[in-house]
Amino acid sequence: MSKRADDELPFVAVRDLRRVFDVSKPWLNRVIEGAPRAYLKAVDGVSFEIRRGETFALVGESGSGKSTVARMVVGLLPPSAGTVTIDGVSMNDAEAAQQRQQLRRRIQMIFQDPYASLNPRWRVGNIIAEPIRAFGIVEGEAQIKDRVGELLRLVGLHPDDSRKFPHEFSGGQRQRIAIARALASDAEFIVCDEPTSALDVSVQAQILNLMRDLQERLGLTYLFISHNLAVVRHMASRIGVMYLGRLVEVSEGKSLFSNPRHPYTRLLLDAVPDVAMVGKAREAVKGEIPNPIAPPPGCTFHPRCPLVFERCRIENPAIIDGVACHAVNAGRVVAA
Amino acid sequence: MTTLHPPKPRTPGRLARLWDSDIAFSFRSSPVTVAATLLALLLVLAAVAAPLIAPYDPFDPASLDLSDGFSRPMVPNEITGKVFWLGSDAQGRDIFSAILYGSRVSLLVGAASVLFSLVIGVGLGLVAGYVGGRTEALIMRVADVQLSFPAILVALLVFGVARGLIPPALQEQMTLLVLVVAIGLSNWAQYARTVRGSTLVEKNKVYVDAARLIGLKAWPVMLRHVLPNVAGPVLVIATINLALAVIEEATLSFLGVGMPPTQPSLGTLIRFGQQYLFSGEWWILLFPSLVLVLLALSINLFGDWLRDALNPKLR
Amino acid sequence: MSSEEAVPVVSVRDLTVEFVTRRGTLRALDRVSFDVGRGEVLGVVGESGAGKSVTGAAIIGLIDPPGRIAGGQVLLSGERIDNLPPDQIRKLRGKRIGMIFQDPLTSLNPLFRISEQLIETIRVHSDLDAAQARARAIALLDEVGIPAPERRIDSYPHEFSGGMRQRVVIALALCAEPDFIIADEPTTALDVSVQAQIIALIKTLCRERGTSFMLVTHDMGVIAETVDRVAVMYAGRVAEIGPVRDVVKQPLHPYAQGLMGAIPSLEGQAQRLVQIPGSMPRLSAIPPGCAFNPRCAQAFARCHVERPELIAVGDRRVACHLYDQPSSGSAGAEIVS
Repeated sequence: MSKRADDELPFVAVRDLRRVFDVSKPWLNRVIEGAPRAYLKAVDGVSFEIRRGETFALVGESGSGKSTVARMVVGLLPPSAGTVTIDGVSMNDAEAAQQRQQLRRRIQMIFQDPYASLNPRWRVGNIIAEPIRAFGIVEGEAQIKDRVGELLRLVGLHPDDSRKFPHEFSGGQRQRIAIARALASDAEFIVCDEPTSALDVSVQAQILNLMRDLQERLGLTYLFISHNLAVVRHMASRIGVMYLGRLVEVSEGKSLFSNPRHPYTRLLLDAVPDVAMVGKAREAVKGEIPNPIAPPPGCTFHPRCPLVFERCRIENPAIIDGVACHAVNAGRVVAA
Repeated sequence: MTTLHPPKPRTPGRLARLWDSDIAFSFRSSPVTVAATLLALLLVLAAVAAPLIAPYDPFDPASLDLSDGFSRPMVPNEITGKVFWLGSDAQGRDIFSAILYGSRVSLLVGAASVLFSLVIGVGLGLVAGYVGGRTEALIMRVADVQLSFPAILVALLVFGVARGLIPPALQEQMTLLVLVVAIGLSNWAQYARTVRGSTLVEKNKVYVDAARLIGLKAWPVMLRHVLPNVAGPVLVIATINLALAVIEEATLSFLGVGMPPTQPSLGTLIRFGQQYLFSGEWWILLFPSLVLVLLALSINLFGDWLRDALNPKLR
Repeated sequence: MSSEEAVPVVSVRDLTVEFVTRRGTLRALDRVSFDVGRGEVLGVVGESGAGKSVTGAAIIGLIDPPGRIAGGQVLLSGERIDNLPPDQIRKLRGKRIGMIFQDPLTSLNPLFRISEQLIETIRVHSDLDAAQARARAIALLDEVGIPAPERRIDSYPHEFSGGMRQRVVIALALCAEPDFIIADEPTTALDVSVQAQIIALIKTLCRERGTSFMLVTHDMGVIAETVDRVAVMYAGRVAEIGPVRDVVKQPLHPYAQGLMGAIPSLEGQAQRLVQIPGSMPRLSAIPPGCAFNPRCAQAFARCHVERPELIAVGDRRVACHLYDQPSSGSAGAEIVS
């Protein structure tokens, strides 16, 4: 697996990704109550690129579609439309099936709930060895055992832990096991879906530090999904902000926090309770996220937006220069 | 990177850990369960070891003596002077030995039919829950239809059809097999429903996603990941169904569509016995019935405890 | 405690809660002491298993067997309430001590309209007639920021969004005008933008009504922005308690220092997070001496043997031997970060 010389080509390219869920009532209810079919646009035209070795974060509140994007990127969920291309191989194209099988080894995922992501009936050693066996990374039982021990040590556990069952570990230790499993197939690209939101802060710090160390040592590429802006700021080199299935702003990590451009990003930054804000008064944010089954027309953020004008109610803004906002794009707002 | 573990205390042996586990504790602290389990084990062991324990061979016509007929329990026979612990029947067959061999047949039919319905039910339930869509709808509607018939009716139907298909010469030998299929087919739906329900829950847990991510096909995921996690409730149903299957077999045999007199089960023995109930030979009916009741009761009590112990919601 | 003229609304003294299991007695709270003054918001923060929720439950007498209050006192406006018979403490609940839980749905009955639930609660605790109670309910909903309360009052709980439901729960807790409200993770189930609204509401209620709050949460950000004083709990004990600004900016207890350093912030440099090795001990394996000593970089011989008591350091009280030395000086007082 030689490294590409041309770093120009993005490692991961997501183009106009869409996913619609049918959330209609059962057929009988529709007939009796006369209710129409209902669709939920969980992801509505999302495009972004991830460079090799960087951490790209998607941040948003619940219902923003960020986890759905993650599941489509790794191939757990087929997109309704759009494409995901990883290292030049299409994840959706039927013709690329052969190449995709090889690609699969290089893409892994870490999930939110460490209590559900490990099969409770399997010993830790078997859990970590499963990808090694499935992809034939190492042959021979003794060698597999050594590799498992090596991986456990890599994530800060002991090789003897392979004999235990998941319930014998704390949440943070389980997340370490999940990371070891993700690394077992020599993955290069790891999609992390809220990897620390089920953990306590001191354990979260351990896991975040571990993930950064591993990225440095192994040159990993992360797609990092989180609702926690502070965690994202700590982890990501580039950040995409999602609202109701759409990407509203994509920015370099630093500038997103120093110079938020989309009004929703500003709202979010204003709202997050932060330890640094002790004793400071802030203005309360108005409104809540609308029902995603019947989103507002035009820009979905317009009912809560302080910069709203006529065009926002009609036309859905496209991302121009990293921001999807008519007001910003028309130059009506000068970035602070 | 440092390890996060303090030095480990000496781990106790496997048996000690089992004894100390929560499930063993819950078992130990329920005297009814312990008694029921011991009784069930005793009955099963006695049935398995029937040829070793039984004082007589009730299926050996040569050893039968008509003058031993209708011996009272524990009373020496007036003609031959032999003592039968639980009495003898019209042909001079020892009731105790007949019960041992009879419960052997009953348990064999029960266990085999449970296994049969288990394989069908778990397989179909797993597929229905994991695949979903039309496959699921089809399987579950068939299960609904099956559940809306009384189990005994389904068994009778299967039995009748099998009778029509199998040549008469083979019928006697095939009865056991036909019974197993008949009882098995009448009970699979419950497993299918339970397994489908648990599968729907388990397949949405992310460890299944993790398995799919490494490219595993549906079957390995179902068998290696989902199945072990839905096995708990299945085990409970299987235990309780074992008691039900034994009773169902007895019912069929009592109705005369079960085991032939040459290979009597507990139900067959009860059918014989009831003919003599009013002529004073009560033991021919009483003892097989008692064993059937104790067998079903003890297995059921064990199953009840198992359900409570495996269901964390009730604890 | 310095002598204060006003009696604290709630005073917890050496509260100890134990759970008896077949493997021995687990001590979930170990001699916890703190006061909550009138109109004050006390934050109780800690990681899972620290005993913060048990503290709230113990104050309102909601510890169910096999748990029991094994020692200490809870005083409400100077009167002991921990030893009251169950029916009397039930009367206190709602009347003088309100409760707000993480999931608003557990506090609201889905089968009844909001109006019915509010009016019933108001009439139980006062002698208002139905019409007066309804007017009062509408006023309460208005106060907690529900738009068009005269119309929305007849809705069912499921017709409200998560944030609005939590507002209704707060209104329900306010019905009897309690002196003291225990809020257990009230913002955890809510989205960030809504979280900020609920925090603002709690602060307003304190300021305008003089209601005291005990805010139990694991979220230091929420604590930092909401409370006046904060108690940091570890393994069933209070590690440090004091004004929130001091505790957040300059924590004294090594655990509090590690905790604050572990939180990624929106301000300052995004550097490597401070990491406390290991995890909180299980209740069945709390080490002797200071419960934090196996994870503490500054532990010395005394920490392994003797449990530190809360000692006053300025406005704060800290349970750490580092501050109990004749020449305590600046040992460990520097901030990490």
